[in-house]
Amino acid sequence: MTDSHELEVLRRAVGEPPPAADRRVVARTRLDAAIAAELAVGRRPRSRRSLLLALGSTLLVLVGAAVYLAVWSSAPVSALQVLAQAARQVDPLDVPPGAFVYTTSERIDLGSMPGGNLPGIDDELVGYLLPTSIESWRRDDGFVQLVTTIHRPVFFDPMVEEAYYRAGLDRVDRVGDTGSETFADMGGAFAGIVWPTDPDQLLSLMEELIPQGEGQPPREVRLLNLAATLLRGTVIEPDLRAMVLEVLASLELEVDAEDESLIVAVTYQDWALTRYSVTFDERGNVVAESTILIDGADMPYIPAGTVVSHALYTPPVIVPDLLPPAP
Amino acid sequence: MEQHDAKIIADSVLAPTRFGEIFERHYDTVFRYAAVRVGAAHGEEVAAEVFLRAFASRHRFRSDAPSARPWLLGITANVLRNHFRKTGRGRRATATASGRESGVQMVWFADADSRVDAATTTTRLTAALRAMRSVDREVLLLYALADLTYQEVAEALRIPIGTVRSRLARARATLKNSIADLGESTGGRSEQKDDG
Repeated sequence: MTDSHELEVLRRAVGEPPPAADRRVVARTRLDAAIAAELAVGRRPRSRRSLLLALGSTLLVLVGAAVYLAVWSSAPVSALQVLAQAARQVDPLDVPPGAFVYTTSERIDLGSMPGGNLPGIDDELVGYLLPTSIESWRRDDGFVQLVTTIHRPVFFDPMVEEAYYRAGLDRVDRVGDTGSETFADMGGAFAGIVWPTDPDQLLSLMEELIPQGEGQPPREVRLLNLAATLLRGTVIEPDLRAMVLEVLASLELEVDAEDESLIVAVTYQDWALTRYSVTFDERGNVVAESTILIDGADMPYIPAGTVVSHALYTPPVIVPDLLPPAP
Repeated sequence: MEQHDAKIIADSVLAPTRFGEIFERHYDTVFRYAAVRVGAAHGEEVAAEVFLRAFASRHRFRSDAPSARPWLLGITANVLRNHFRKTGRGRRATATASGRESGVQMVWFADADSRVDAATTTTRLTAALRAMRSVDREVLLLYALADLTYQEVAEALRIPIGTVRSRLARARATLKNSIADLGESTGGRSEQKDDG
């Protein structure tokens, strides 16, 4: 009897596993739907290293009513209520049957990879910034088309950059390529939810929808993030948009006016002092979202003070076909 | 040059579609392990859940190992535990095992039952698996059926490799005792793994 006799008996008893070839469609379809859902709402899984983020200035130039600026500057806490009133007055977007809701986003996010993948690099991890542009077309029957362009990465270390290209990882990453994907029957992250008509009830619902459990950032961060997800690039009723803003007005948030936009932020202590902010235009659309690592970064492969993540969004536009809107 | 799983997973945090490559590389392994535990139909469901969980938690994949297989099979073990808990079969089996945690393997073996050649072997293996501690059994099954090495089992279950060795030794001894008098007719082969 060999040393592994008992294992062989066990393997024989179990027999050959069934072939997987005919049993992969369900799993692949669900995974593709999850991937598409994340792309469609611009979400990223949040980790301590990737939940970094970015900056704080200069990127937004949107036309707005100057009167709000004065109000925001003198009474920043009530600025969200003023913005809610303005959002309520906006005419709802009418989406004709068969038409598409077109949005764009420009992102720059931190990427990382094991240094061992790169010739001559000994670091455990190396970081780089990866800019991407995404155009999306969504139809009310769940159809989604995404066109994604991956731009040249930005490196912090010229040696890493040289090794990256020498290893051909730019081709693997499809840098410079524009890819198109279509998905049928994408329900959307909030499909099926009946939204309350009362701000208090809306807050209660939002409390239920935000991620729970250990390791989550403070409640205000999660609520602000949920609000941003609801309001960016989406066609929702003006009343709901206004109510979401009223909910934000009831929270302990930092509110600042900048140019013609309103920046709502939370600064909190995570693994480092972190500031998460969402920028609204004068109609209540989310036009930017960012997180800045203020100090205490425990990432030797990223220089301190680097802007590592920022996203810009355009408000939704109705288009008749799968083309960008006419200029 | 084929990229390591770690690189693909790291990239997929920013480019989610790249996670499809991980699916293509490892789906068969995950499905087969799930299928021998719970049958093909449930195995498909389990495998689908494994890849959804893996995708959702991919930012936590920190392994420097070139393969994501141990990580995915560790998730599979968790999903299987939840599967048995939800179906209640684990509780029923546990109740019959005089306080020992044996439910998972009874279910596993019941599903494998139709493929077992010898009723005697089946009965004895079933009893042996039921007699094991569940933690020993999980190590045994990952090693014997998923073909992981000691180190990979340790990664999958997040336990020290020494613990893997001791648990596997206990499980194998139990298994060996149960079939000690069945002779060579049940087969046998040398192991090929490099476990040191």
